[in-house]
Amino acid sequence: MLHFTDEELARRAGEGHISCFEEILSRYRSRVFRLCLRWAGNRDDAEDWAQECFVRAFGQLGRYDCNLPFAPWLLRLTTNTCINLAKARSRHTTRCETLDEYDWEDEGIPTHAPLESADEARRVRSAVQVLPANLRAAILLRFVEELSFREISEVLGVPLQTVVTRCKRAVEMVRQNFEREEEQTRIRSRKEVRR
Amino acid sequence: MKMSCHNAKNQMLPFLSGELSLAEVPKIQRHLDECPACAQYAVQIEAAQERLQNALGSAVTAPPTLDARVMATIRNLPPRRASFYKSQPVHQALKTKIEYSIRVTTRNLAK
Repeated sequence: MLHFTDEELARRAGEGHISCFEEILSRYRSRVFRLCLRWAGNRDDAEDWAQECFVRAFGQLGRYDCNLPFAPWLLRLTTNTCINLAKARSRHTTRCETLDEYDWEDEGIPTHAPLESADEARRVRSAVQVLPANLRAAILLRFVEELSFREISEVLGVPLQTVVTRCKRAVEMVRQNFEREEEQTRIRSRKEVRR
Repeated sequence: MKMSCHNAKNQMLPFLSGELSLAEVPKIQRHLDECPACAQYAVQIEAAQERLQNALGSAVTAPPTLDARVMATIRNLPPRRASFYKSQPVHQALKTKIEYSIRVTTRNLAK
């Protein structure tokens, strides 16, 4: 099983070889989960969403063209599934609830990390959470999956320049968010000094 | 031809990550040397990207229960429904189709 390429495994899994799908799962579990975590914002939802992504992938293997690389196909399916699940969840919960549910110690930030870096990470993620879905999709593939602009264009099925523009807009929006926050902090500290 | 600030900003991300085409690199480099506003923009964008990288790029592993949950769901899925014609031998499907056509034609003739 180990010598099969992803594309061969996907073809065989589509023909009904469950063990081939298990191998795909073991190869992609962390990548899919990581992406789901950044979309969902908490580990519980992320696990449910990753499960949904893999089950959908299994159901749609019949539509996968094994002449094309498998990873972009799976990442596109994951992104689309997360966008849909995020929309569905936002109908049921308020945005504040989802942002406050982060479990920082489980999200790759070492428990011994300084408090400021954990707070900084929380603020950055909050800023990403409020981006429009198309910008968020591009930025998460860029910084979570660490894909090149060309690879993101393959995953999302949009032109290269569109990806560059979306990432630029997303980075600018996040930067403006930081600047607004820093300005507010400055105003607050000035008020405290006056008191 | 000189590069405009608008174009320089549009190409800034691929320039900073080394993904810009080799033909474009000297143009944007020259522009940054001459335009302090765009040079400052480059510094700000690079800093924002670094913060994003630090916050989003941390190593995360999937929970050990994920595989079992996925495989249990897949094994419990109902068998895929094949289309009517795929679900039976070709001659049987053809026979059914011919019988249906005969029924429709007979009914139309009787009207």
